Amino acid sequence: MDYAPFLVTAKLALFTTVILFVIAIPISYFLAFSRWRGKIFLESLLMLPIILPPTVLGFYYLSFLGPQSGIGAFFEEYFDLSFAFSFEGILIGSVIYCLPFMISPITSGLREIPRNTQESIRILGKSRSNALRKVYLPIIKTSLWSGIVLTFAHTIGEFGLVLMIGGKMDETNVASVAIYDEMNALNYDVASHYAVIMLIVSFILIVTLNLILRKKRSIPA
Amino acid sequence: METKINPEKITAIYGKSGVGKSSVLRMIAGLDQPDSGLVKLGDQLWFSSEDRVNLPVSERKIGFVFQDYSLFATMTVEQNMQYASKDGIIPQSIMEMVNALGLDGLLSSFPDELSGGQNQRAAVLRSLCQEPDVLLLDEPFSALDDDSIADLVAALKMAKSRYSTAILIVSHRKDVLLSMADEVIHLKEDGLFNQGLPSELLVRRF
Repeated sequence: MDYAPFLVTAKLALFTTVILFVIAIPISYFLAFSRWRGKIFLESLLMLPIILPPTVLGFYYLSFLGPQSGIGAFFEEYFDLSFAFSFEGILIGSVIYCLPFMISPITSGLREIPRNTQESIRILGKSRSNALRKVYLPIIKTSLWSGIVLTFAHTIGEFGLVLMIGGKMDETNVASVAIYDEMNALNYDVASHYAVIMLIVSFILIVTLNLILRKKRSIPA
Repeated sequence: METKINPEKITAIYGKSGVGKSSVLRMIAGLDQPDSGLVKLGDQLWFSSEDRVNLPVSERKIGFVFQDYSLFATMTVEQNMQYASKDGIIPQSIMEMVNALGLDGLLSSFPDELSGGQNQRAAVLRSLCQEPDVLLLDEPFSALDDDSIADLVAALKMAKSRYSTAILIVSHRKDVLLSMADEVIHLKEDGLFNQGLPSELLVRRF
């Protein structure tokens, strides 16, 4: 049995999680504390992938970044970088698709920080970045872990978007697509092996998430 | 409301719930902005609606102890104090006060390991680490039992005797204010107020 799809899946999930963790913190901070009136539209836009069919996202992704698009053609010609049918392509798609799963718990965590704590920071004269590093992020540690586990788990389960953006290349052949391909080829034994592994990994991730959330609920107010 | 507060004394703002005691404190701190008026510390103008001056909270050199304390939950007492101190070094005089109050054994404790009274005293000490010109306390006794109140009063009196920090307390606890305040501002529901000695304003005469 070929385990390469699992390596691609793990690599995609790891890269997506790390990239999203870095970019979600400033975005979540803005969503949690900004008083900008248009914030609700920005937040809605960022949360759109939760309800948007992956094929719709894939269609627009390929329309804007695919080889036929102006941007895609530019990067391919001048930087030899392809945003479709490549690992980089499914990584960008995955980052966009999983954005809400990282942003939502972190933003919620930041919004739950007591007003007294925020005002104490003002009184102590600490900068925003200092407060974020030293006070806010440690307080929302469980929300950060929730975001990490949710994003990782969701990336592992991606199918439609990866299939549309990645096509059928070795470097984009993730486990969920591999199961689909093996089923189509009537290789039920291989598909079954893949499916069992995915089932176990997914279950472990869900148990981990529930343990994190239970810990969060047990924190005294 | 137009009044002056003597920095040498512990001043209390007393009044029933809803008369605006905490609002006054928050406006002095700069956490809320008055519609109009003037807030000054000595010659330094903190707020003036006429001159359009509103000094940022961080530049007012205040310490603030909230009703439900506000130590950072993920830091120990010592880390909280270090975080509030300049360059992260707790002033020696504050450490002496920690020892005098018998709180040295709690330095490595997290806030959720402390009682309400210990939390409040630690919050006062953290505020003192900022070396503030004014220490503001918003209903600091409301969630405490009698023993904890006595400990907190002792801590505030010690702070007053050791530092030149002005102390302004908001409380509805008449009995506690009688035992510790040098001066009282009695806010009334009609917006008027009296200022004077606690024995004059807080003791009901028949």
